[in-house]
Amino acid sequence: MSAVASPQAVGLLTTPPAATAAVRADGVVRRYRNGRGVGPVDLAVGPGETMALMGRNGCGKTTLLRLLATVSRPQRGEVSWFDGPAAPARAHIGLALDGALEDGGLTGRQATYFWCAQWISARDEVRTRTDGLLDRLGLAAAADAAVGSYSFGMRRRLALVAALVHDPLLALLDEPTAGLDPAGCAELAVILAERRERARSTIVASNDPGFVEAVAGQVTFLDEGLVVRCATPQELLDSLPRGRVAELVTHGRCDAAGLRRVAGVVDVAVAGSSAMVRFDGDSTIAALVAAADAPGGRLRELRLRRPDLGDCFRELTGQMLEDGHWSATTPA
Amino acid sequence: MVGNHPSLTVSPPRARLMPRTVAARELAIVVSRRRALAIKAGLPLLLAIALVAGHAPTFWAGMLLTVLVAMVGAVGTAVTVSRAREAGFLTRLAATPGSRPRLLGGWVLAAAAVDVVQLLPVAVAATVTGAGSAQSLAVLAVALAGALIVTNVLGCVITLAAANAAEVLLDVVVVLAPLLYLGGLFTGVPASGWRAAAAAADPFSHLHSAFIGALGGTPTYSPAVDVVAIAAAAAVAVAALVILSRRILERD
Repeated sequence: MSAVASPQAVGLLTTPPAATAAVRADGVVRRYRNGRGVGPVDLAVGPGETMALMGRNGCGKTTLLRLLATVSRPQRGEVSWFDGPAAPARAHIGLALDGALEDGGLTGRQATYFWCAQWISARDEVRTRTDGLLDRLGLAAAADAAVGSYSFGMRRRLALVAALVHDPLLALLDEPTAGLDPAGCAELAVILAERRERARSTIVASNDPGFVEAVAGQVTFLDEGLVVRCATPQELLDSLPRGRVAELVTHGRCDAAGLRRVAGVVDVAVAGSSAMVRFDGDSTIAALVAAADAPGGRLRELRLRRPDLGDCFRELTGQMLEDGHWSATTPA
Repeated sequence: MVGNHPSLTVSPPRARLMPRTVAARELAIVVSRRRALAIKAGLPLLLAIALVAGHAPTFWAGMLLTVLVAMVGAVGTAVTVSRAREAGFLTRLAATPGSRPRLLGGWVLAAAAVDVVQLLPVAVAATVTGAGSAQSLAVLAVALAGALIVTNVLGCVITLAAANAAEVLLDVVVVLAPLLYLGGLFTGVPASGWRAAAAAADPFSHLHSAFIGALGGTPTYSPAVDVVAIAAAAAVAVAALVILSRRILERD
């Protein structure tokens, strides 16, 4: 028997108390025997705030999310939700973990209905919310098909629906854009914006710089379980030196030394046949192309972009957000 | 076909159970996999028919049926809970407002109900041809219910030690084998000594005794002792589930 509580019974709030942090962590530590994990970490997420956790794989994002979602306990430090303990806070929390996928035997509608019913007892409301959010995230047509027949992206959408269907005051979403197509990412960004307007707090663990810039009011960089920096996306981007980024792909290994010699290049990171070059000045582009193409016909792809949060992370930690054996160098 | 996903087959929504509880959800999943359910119920039944047709001695037939109950109960739950943990379901469940014992208790009840579906035809087939009295059949029913609670809780608890769903099978055998041995299933229960005391406290020894009685043999213990011992073991199992439910749900 699962507890099916009415909103009143579980103390479900329709609006969060003003000026009360949805979640606050004070010096929390959760380390595993292999040294991985997180902490000590301090952070607070206020009502209507969207915070993004960014960091390399294994840096402690998911461990921190579990702590903030009440499903794991810190070895040291304290976590409080709405200025209270974990048990009553669960009435206000929605959780979507990366890799947490629904059992294939149920239909999407059944799975969503089950999760919604854990918070809301009125059957009509559960049905209305289930149908509404399935529709918004593009699963209405497949709602009565077995989840086992869903694509990975559809299962990821379903996990988001299950986490948000009861409109929690605090939602914790682990890699929410993983597996989502651009339309799904855009719809999710709209949903998170609407949550902000309704004073709902959201924490997303994501290494998708574009998505984080679009949805987050605060970004927390984590490295080896510690907070490296917490600031608004704009503050982080403003802290970067002027310039742009060229992403290059060549036939064979990238010539890092050759790229480094180009005038205007600020720094170069190379992983096999890929290179990421930060540079300043339009005149540098032609020289970069020439250096990457030398001795002729080696350049396969070139993409120019403005610096993003991934570059901020690299600037702060000297590491790339993405996996891969990147070696960063700066011109002498 | 739905959209550009040709593999999606949609059935009318009204035909499906909309689960509100963990127990209902688990039963809905089991019902959706009818072929697996038929195999789960069919294989033990084949074993029971072989025992009946072969006129197996009641001690050995009872032993085999007890081992079957222990394995079906513990393995099914242990594997399901381990897979649910790997899929992140337990973590998500731990973030809901329901009490941990009730959430996990719902799971155990659903698993036990599925086990009944699996084992009822076995029990009927094995006892219908035996010479057991009505009283011995009633004792068997109580013993089966209690043993299924014990084995399903055991399956849940064993997942605390296992790293994954594959490893949990080994762990179940490692835990059950000594319990079955101490219950005197393979050797009989000595008249005195520590093994007699261990067997008296072992629910599988009492289930074995109940099976022997229902099959027309001479049970190891009196019916009253079997019922009391199994009920006590079930109560201990439920208490253990209540105490360990948080750890089971929140384990990484």
